[in-house]
Amino acid sequence: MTIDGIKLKWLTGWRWLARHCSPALLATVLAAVIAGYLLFVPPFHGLADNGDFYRAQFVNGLYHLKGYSMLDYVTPKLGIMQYYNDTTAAVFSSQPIFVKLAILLNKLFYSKTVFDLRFMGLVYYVPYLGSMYLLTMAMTAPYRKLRSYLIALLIVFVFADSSFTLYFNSFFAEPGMLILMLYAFASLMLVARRPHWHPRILTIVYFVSIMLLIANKQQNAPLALSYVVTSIGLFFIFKKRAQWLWILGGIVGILVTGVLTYTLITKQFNDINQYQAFTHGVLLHTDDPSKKIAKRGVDEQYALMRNQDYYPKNFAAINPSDKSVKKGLNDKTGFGWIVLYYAHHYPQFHTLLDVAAGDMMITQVKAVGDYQKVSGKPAGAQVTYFTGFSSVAGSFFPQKFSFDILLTIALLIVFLIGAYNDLVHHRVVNVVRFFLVTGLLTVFIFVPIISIIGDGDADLAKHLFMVPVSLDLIFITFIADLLNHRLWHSDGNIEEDNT
Amino acid sequence: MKKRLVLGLLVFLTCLGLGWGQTMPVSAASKRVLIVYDAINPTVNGQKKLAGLQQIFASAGVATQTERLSDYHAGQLTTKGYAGVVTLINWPQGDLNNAEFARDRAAFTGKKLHVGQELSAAEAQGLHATRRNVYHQQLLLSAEGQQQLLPFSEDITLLKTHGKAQRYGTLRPQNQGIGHYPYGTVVGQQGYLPYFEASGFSQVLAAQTIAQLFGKKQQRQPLLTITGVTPYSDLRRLTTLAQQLNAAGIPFAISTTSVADNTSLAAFSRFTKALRIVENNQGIIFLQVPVVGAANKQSGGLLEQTMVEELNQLGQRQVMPVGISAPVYWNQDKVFRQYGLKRSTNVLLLPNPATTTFAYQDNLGGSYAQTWTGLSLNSLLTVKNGQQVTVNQLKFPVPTALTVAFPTSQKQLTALMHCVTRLNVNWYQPQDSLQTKITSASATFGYKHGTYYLNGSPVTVGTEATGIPKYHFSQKRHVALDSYFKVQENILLVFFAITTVVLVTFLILGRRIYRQMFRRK
Repeated sequence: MTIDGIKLKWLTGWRWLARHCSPALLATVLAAVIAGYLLFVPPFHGLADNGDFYRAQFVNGLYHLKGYSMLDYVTPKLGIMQYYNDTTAAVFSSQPIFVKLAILLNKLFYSKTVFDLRFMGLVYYVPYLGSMYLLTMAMTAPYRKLRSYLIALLIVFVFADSSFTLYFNSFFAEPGMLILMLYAFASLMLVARRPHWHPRILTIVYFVSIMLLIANKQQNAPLALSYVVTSIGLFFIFKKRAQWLWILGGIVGILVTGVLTYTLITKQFNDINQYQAFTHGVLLHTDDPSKKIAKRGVDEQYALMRNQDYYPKNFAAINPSDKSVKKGLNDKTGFGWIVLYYAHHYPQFHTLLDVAAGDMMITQVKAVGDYQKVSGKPAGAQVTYFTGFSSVAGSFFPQKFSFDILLTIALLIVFLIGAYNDLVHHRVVNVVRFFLVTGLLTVFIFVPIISIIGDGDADLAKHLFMVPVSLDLIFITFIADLLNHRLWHSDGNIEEDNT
Repeated sequence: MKKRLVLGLLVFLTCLGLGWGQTMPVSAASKRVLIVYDAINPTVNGQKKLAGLQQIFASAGVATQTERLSDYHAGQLTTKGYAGVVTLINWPQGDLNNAEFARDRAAFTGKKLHVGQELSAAEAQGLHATRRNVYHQQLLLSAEGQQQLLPFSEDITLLKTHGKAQRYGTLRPQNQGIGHYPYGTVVGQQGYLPYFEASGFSQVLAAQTIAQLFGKKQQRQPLLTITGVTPYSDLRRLTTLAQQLNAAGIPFAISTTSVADNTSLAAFSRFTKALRIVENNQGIIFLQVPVVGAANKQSGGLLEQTMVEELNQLGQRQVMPVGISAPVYWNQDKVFRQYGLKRSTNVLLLPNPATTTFAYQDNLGGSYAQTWTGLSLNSLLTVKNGQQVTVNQLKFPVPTALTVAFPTSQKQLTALMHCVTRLNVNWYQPQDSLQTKITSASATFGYKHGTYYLNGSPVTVGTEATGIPKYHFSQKRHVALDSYFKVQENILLVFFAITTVVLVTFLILGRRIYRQMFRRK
């Protein structure tokens, strides 16, 4: 066969593929296979209980069967309560929607008494695939070039990473957050890029996702402000006054959800966070803190609580929920006190932020095991299957908060230029993208700060969950738009390019 | 053949008996007493009652075994050589019965004590008494000119004793027509308490009854004990309290927790300095065991480590605990006893906290050379119940620590001082007769006639700690390239900043030039 012949064959094959399989479909199928194997093929994987699962389990009518494992192994089966359940929700959250749905499916298709963890995975898995489809479409459409497929592969590499999908087979709230964020991001981008493809439905999807995302976990309450920023772009897409009213309504909805989520944080949670912000933040990364806290009006003896948890793991000199601790410590060290303390001890705060910066790209929960006991793996063993992106990002992302700020400035400038060029030429896509990226960048910068002030370095990696998700989305946008020649101008056209 | 079988059986039974003797760590003083309770019944604080009984027995030097009535198995009492049996009824309405227990108890020849309702006819007969049920009454308990009003009781069984009986206290219903009855009754090997509470005047009389029945009666002066001190307490108030008590000539003890971590911080030096002031003001220190967050059978090693670290860090700073204090439930837990309490010959048992987290509950209450029962001083003084108790006239039959919570304000401190000086009690003087030993890994802490010993040699307690290396926090560790990286980091920052400024300038300039190209000249 001649070289021309091979070329012709290749071209025909390529055209056939491009016609029958869009990049979005490719990404979805790949993600389905990769995540599906991890989550459903026995002995399937997941995340073991870190001690927080009871909040999602008992309230929804699940209980531990004999042999339930904490931390070390994933427990595949749970019992479904057959009697009146008098536990009430300790926290306000949208997470029960997912858990309740999983139990319902379990009851319909499997058993009324035993809950298979995979139904939890399934409830996340299906919408997750939808979000992957939409995201890839938003990043590649309308093209079906080789580079479009490369972008699709990149999206799979990043978001089908096992460190994300493992969460599905667990009672953490994080998978809900991941999927809702993907939906919100993709739908907003699609509204901007394909204004004639179900703009109203996509806008509704965007607002609903954001609201559910904020209500998913207490720590997301402050994110409402970031998502107000991401929503501003919508005003550029919809030009009619009446439409503006609807958008304004959506934004108010986001704010109200944020405020509600914040105010519904129970007193107990506040106490825990406030206590740990002190023992796991203020007292850390400094030489003797005794005198420093005494200077700011807190009895210096409380320095001895350094590194203590609100719920002592084993033994403690005093119960942190004791009245005297509340009076002597919690009543004094409110949010304002902690902010002022860090203002006076900035180097310490900076060190804590660097700790946060070092933790933010490590998305795999190392504290708990990923395997079931039947797998024969050692306790707490970690999955390495398809964790390429998270391990590379975790090890090579600079562990300095100053770098994060510089990166933010650089990205802002790049996307601002794109927005400016579009504004001048009366186009909107890159303006929407700019507000979207800016919102996500505020998550990137402020979530570490809020986490340190709000809860110290306790549970830091989990509190930062939205940071890697946001940064990964920006990263994909950057690469995709660069490849599609849309980074600086949204009217970039690659149809004339060879590939 | 038959002979051989009998012989074999005999050998087997002897082995079994020997084996039992080995597995039951019976204290040298006597065999165990079996406490059998019907139910916990939280509505009447049944848990507290049970703990209160366990506490009195431990202080009387009697090891116990506690069992629920439904868990009792036939022959346990008659074959296993208990010194005595206590029946505690918390829930008479439940009418819980165990026929095997009733039968075994009747056949049992050791000491028997019945506490609470449901005294059977046979038991009453053993006490040579007739029962009388009294309904809906509030009873007045009195003894030797002192009295206390008991809580309202729906239903109580009183005894009319005939013949020779030892009686402790008198119960008088408000309805004068009914007459008066003994509170604690001991007849030979049997005893009865119609009502029990782990605090107040009735606790003292109940302890007298128990001590009499089990032959452990002794007369002891109470030890004034300040409880609830922690490293986070107001230390200035603690030292003031110690100085004022010393000035008033009142010997005292404090029960304090400590920390195993962060002991290099200034706050810990301050804490131990305050404790040395306590020691220098005739105060002795009980190291209180830590609060349990979570524990299981494997927690022994961690507890050992925590206790040893706490003791050694205190000892290094001349803070010499003379005993271990713990909630009563610790004495019912195998791990807590082994790694917490047994290291000391001097143990103070305090009332249980609201939640009790066990590591390995075995319900085998131990007893130590000297076991103090913590009894709230307030429960004797409160006038709410219309009682008039003169503490200095009370006869405490077991080592009793009268506990006072550490004052949380200056006002409370003044009130406390006022109260204890006015009581005029002849308090227990540790300096006179207390002799203790605590083992902490390789170190031993001793106390004898007012002198502290560390590993056998006497220790002088001064104001400042001696023999502790001073920690210099201002000294930073020097890492070879540390300063290089620091400088490099700053250089990079400056570089990036300059680049950004230059870029932005170029951008603006470039744009201007670009626009200039199209402007009409």
